This record gives sequence, structure tokens and C-alpha cells, in this order.
Amino acid sequence: MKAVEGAGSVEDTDAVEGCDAVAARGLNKHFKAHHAVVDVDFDVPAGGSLGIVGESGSGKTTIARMLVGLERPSGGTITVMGRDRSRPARGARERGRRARELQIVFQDPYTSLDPSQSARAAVEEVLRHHGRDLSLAQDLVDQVGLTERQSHARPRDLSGGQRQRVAIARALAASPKVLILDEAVSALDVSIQAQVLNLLADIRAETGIAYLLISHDLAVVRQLCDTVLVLRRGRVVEQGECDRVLDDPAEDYTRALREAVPVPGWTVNA
Amino acid sequence: MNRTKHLWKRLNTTLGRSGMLSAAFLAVVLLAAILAPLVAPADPNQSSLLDAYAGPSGAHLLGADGIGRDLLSRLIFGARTSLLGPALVVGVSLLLGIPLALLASWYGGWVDGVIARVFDLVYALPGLLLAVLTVALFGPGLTPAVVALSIAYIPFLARIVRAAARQQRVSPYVDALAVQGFGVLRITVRHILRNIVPVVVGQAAIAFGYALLDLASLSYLGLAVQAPTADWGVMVSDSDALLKGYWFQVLAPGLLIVLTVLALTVLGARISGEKPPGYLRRKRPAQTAAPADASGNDRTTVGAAA
Repeated sequence: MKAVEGAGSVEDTDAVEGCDAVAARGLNKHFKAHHAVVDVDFDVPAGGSLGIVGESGSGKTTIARMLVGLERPSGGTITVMGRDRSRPARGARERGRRARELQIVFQDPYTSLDPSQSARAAVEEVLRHHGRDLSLAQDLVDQVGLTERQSHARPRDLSGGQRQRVAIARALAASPKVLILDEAVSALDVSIQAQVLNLLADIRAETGIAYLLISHDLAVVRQLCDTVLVLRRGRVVEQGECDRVLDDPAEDYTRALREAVPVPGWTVNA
Repeated sequence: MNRTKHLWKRLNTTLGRSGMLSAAFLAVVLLAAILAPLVAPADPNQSSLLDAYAGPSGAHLLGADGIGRDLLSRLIFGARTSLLGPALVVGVSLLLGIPLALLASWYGGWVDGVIARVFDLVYALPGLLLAVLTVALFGPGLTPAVVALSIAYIPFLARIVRAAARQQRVSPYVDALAVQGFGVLRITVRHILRNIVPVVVGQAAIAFGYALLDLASLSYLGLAVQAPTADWGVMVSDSDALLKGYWFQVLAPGLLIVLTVLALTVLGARISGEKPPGYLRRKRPAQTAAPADASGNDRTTVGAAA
């Protein structure tokens, strides 16, 4: 697999060096009366990877949407590559710069691609938008492991795994420093999941990109992440090294999450 | 060569038999309208009283009207005015309606609320009534009628566009594009609008048919296209012919109106992805086909009556 030059390199010289890729402090989000995210703090070191786990409705996706600017935080600050993004971006320049810092791959591969755009067209559109060389499109398509034929096909002719590869290529086309994977492999079956996870691990090794992985699947988090954050009802329950938290959880909730994972010999308790 | 063949095959599968037939009919009408001076056998306004109400013959293929004008030529030239009016109506309402619909679907919230209510308000006004009012104010003619109908047709088109665009708007690919830093205008025009083109074109074709009918009605009433000009609506209003028993001079333009509107409606429905109406082929269930039972008129079940 070929590495994409420029991805993960320091293009924006005004980025503050030596700081965390993502830093969230006192993050809060209210949806009317519902307090979806409560005082969440976390850091993703540059080139590191943080997993956010928790049950459905625990606020994982809300955090991701606030980070990429699709939701506005009710309180707290978000800093990406040393720059604050707690407020919506002003102007096309600022939007473009934020896009080159942080990208996201969504959960549902069936709706996260424009149905009338081939993989190649989608990647090229992003490259053009960020003023990057169009010849990188071929490298990106190769990097995510799409064949020539697949890269020219419409999303409806691709499988779920192939579509998710397209979504990853499109996100990488902006050469972000951080990639959010919002349940990015949850909709895929287990063997395809493993392929995509290996792909993500390879990309990280090649580009030094930081990951923020959102998942309810502890095995996925364990495979890809250094640190993990356990979320429950919008609050951080436990946070720390991946192996420590998942092998020897200090909190009951984490233990419950861990015990809910089916393993060999697992039976349903009556 | 192979490409044209492929395109033809795709067209055939999307449109189906009825859709292809409609498209072919419309193509013939459109071509005749555009090439009218070339195809029409005679001047549509050249009258010769000797040929008044002449039957079909070598000189007049479809016969002649009350003052001896060639009927076929009048039908062909009539296609021009009859198609131009609706084209203007649909064009203007799309031009005004699409931006409003996209605006409403993008921002949602109160913007959507206000625009949707305005659409509802205009939708509640009958287009013909609005046109009659406009004509009463500005005098008869094609322009006031077209302006009034254009306004009346905005919600007919824009409501569909808004609903379709809304569906795209909430799709994650739009979020992904926004995260990439693309602007609102680019996302709506290059992505959302492009994905709803079939819906827009289909609805526009249906609107075209209705507008044709409305303008023909107004011309029939003498409010839009004025008498000497060849126009299907004007030709249908030739009551003199009807009174004298020459039905064909009135039936022919009427038939053209009906067929054109029908073809547009069928084509529009096929383009926007509707399946051919199954009820035409399905056998009716015996129960509903049976009339009220012999003993009387009430088919309510006993329990319900009590």
C-alpha cells in the first residue's frame, strides 16, 4: 500500500506545535431539557488515538458532531491543533482550515456518500477544494484499497465495506491531522470490519494521523486505541490507558460494559 | 454507437412503454411547433370563404374552419402559442420556486416555516381565479395570464422540491460535505439539486401539462391568446362551428390538448420514478365490484348498524 505524501504532514504552518491534537474542556450540550453531554474533558495527543465507548444515547455522537462543528456546544471549549473551535467558523477560509485539521467518517456508509458521485469524483472534489494536487486521488484510492473499477462506480454499486473505504478516502483527501471515526465500522460485518480496522491501523502507521474512535464495541477500541474514555449518560465514567481500563476497570459501569461482550463460553444469564 | 445504444436502453427501462410513447408524441408535437413554417401546408391565417367548413381533401388534409383557413396548418401553428405559454409559466415558477425551496430546506426552523406557509397560502388560491383577476386588472393577453399562472404554479413545484431537498439535507453526506468546508451554495446546487433533478423535471412536466390546460381554458374564455392567432384553446372556443354541427374543427384541437397533457403527466410521473399505475391491470376484488346487495342499499355490517 502506498503512503499518501502530504497527508499528516504539517501544511498549515500556523498550527501551534507541541500541543494536543484535540483538547476538550468542560464540554456541555443541552438539547432543550435534555443534558446530553455533561462536563466532558479529554485530550487526544498528536498522532495518538482515543476511544470513546458507551451505550446508545450516552452522548458519543453528540461529542463528535460538536468537534466537527455540526453542533454548537452549550458550554466548554474545544481546541483542535491548538486552535479554538467552540464557535461556528466564520468565512470560507476558516471553514477550509478547520476541515484540514479534523475530518470525520460517519456510521452509515449507505447515506454518507453523494449517490450521484463516484469515489474518484468525491475525492477529487475535496482535493480541488483544498487546493491539493489532483494526482493524489489515485494514491488515496490505492491507499484505501479500492480497485480502479470500484473507484469509478456509483455508491449504489458498491458494498458497505467499499463505501466506507470511499468515505475514508474522502476524509483523508483533506489531509487532516485528526480523524473521527463515528461508529465507522459498526455497520459492517465482522470480516469486513477487520479489514477496515487493519486499513485504519496501516494509515495511522503511514501518516501519523490521530484517531478519535467512537464505538460501542470494546474489541474495536482495544485494537485501535491507546487511551479510552467511558461515557455514560453524557458523563465521563472512567478514562485512561486502553489496556488498564478494559482489563481492570475501576468502575462498575465499565465492568458491566465489558461483561456484556459475548466471549467463548458466554451464556445468557437467566 | 455503443454509447447511444446503452443510453437508449437505459431510457427505455426508466420510462417504460407508456413513458417512451409519451416522449415520442411530445417530440413530434414539439418538432411540428418549431418547424411550423416548414411542415404546415398552408398559411394558418389565409382564409378563403369558398372552402368554409370544407371536409378533408387534397387541398386541406384535415379540412378547413368557418372562414376557410386550413385546419392542419392552424393546429401546427397553434402548437407554438399553446406550448410557449406553459413553457414560460413553468420556467418562471421554477426560477422563483427552486431557490425558495432550497432556502427553506437548508435552514429549516423559522425560515422553513415562513416559506412553507407562504407556499400554502398561494397554493390555496386557484390559479385560474388569479389569472382572471389579473386579466381584469391589466386587460386580456398572454402576458398577464402567464404572469398570474407563474405565481400560482410556484407552490405546486416548490413544495415538491422542498420536500425532496429536505430529505437530502438530513442525509449524512451533506454533513460530510459541510465538514469538508464546502459552502451552502455549493452543497445545495452541486449536490442536493443534482440529486433531486428527476423529481424536479418530473413535476415540471406535470405542471407544464396543467399550465397548458389552464392557458387553453383562459384562451377559450377569450382572456389569454386573442382570436385571430392560431391557438388550441382559441380553436376549441369556435362555437360557431359547433352550432353548425362541424364537430371536427373543435374536437381536433381539444384532442391535441388532452393528448399533450396526458403525455406530459405520464412522462413526468415516469421521470420522477413513479411506477406505472398497477390498478389498471389489477383485477378488482369481487366484493367491491358487486353493487349494493339486492335487498337494499345498506352494506354496513349488522354489528355496526346496532
